[in-house]
Amino acid sequence: MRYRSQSVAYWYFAVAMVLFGLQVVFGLLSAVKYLGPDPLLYILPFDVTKVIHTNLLIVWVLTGFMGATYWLVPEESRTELHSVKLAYVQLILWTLMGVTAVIGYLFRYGTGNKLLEQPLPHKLVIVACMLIFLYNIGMTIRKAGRFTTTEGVLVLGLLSSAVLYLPALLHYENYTVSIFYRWWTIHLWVEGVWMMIMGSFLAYLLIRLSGVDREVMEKWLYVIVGLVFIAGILGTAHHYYWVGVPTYWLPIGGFFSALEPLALVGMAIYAYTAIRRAGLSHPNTLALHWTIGSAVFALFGAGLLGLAHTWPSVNRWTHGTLITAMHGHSAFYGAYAMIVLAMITYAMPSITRTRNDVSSTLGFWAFWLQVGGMFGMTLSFATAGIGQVYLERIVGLGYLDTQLKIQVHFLMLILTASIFSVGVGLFIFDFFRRAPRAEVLPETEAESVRAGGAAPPEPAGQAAR
Amino acid sequence: MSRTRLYGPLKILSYVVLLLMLTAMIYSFVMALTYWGGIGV
Repeated sequence: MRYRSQSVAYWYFAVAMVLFGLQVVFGLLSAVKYLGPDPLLYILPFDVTKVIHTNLLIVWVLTGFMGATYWLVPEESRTELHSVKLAYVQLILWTLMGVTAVIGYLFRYGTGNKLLEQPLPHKLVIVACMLIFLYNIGMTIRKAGRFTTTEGVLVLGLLSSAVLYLPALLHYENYTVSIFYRWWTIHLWVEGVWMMIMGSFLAYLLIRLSGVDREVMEKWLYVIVGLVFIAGILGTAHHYYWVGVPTYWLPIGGFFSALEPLALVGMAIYAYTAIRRAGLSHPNTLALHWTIGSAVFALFGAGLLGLAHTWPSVNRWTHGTLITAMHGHSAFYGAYAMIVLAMITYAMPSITRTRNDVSSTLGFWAFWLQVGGMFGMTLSFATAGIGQVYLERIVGLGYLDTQLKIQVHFLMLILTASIFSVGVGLFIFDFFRRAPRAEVLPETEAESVRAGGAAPPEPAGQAAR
Repeated sequence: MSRTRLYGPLKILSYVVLLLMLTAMIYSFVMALTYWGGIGV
């Protein structure tokens, strides 16, 4: 790494990896409940395991975003972070918030508002952490006086994420009103401003990994961000179908959310073109795999599978079924999990005392098992969802009778989720077997290490710092 | 305590998480095999 303060990213990534592992645990516990009588019914019922599964996802992905930002901003602005101490204070507060929220969910301490179950004190800590984070990043850029377009899009995405969390602080007794505003946070995060964060990480990685001209890449970044805004904001209306709001939201939601895949098509073309121009010459081929994989899987999961059930005449049958789980799993994994894993893989040779094996066989196994496993999980949810829609919504069977008929698909889900889990486990093992690096490397050496070259042994005096 | 010394406990924590993942996988396989005969198709 070029700047000592970038080492703070390691600890954010470490926390993110621990939470990712726990998310998988609660995902498996949730999936297995579909198979039959549940021995854990009175200890860990489905509503508890699912809440923990989805909340851990949001927290670990955000932790990864923060770590990746603390890695990226010093490099883009060519300066040390404004305050390393503040970054650690933020991480401690954030981790305590996450851990206590999960413990609280075990005892049903939460608001019950789907995906925003955090109790008010936890929400206030989230706001405090976001303010600390934005202040630290803002002051770093101000101090440097250097502000790239990639950074600009990233900061705008992060700032908007913080602002859009504010509706989550409000409580509404009316369920329709509550749903209406919930999506201002969740939808505008994942199909709006988080796409800007993903786009900026993608641009950063493509510039570094492909060596393609920054000006060209950043110009296209503007186009992608523009497409996200045009389609994503009014696309929120696809969450408003049949929730008690006026019917004019149906055509608005249908039209604008059908446009949403355009930005994802743009991102996939963007990534493909960059690599086609530069070739696969960068030695950190594993980071390249995660970067291109993220663009392609996001197009598949978020773009195509979202489009598959976003039109009102289709969604009237699929609304709230396992078809949503199909889209949700593949979209979140492709767009957000994979881009965080790409940033970690890219930064790993610099922030750890790695050996000459950055693109290790273990790393490739982790990549392919995760991608293959998630693809299989998506198909399992899809087949179960199609069966569910037919039996429940068309034939008119009851919910539980339908679940009995589609149980076989959950065997497939358990099998493919296990393949995915082994991939996640290998990634976590690969990450933690490397100790963090404390010292700054000279420019040329930093480039060589990031590219996968051998790292020099750490001097004894610096290792303890 | 320096931050790099936190690496040891964190590495142990990561092994605990890996163990939990393995336990959840074994549990889900056991449940899948237990209920395989009871599928109502």
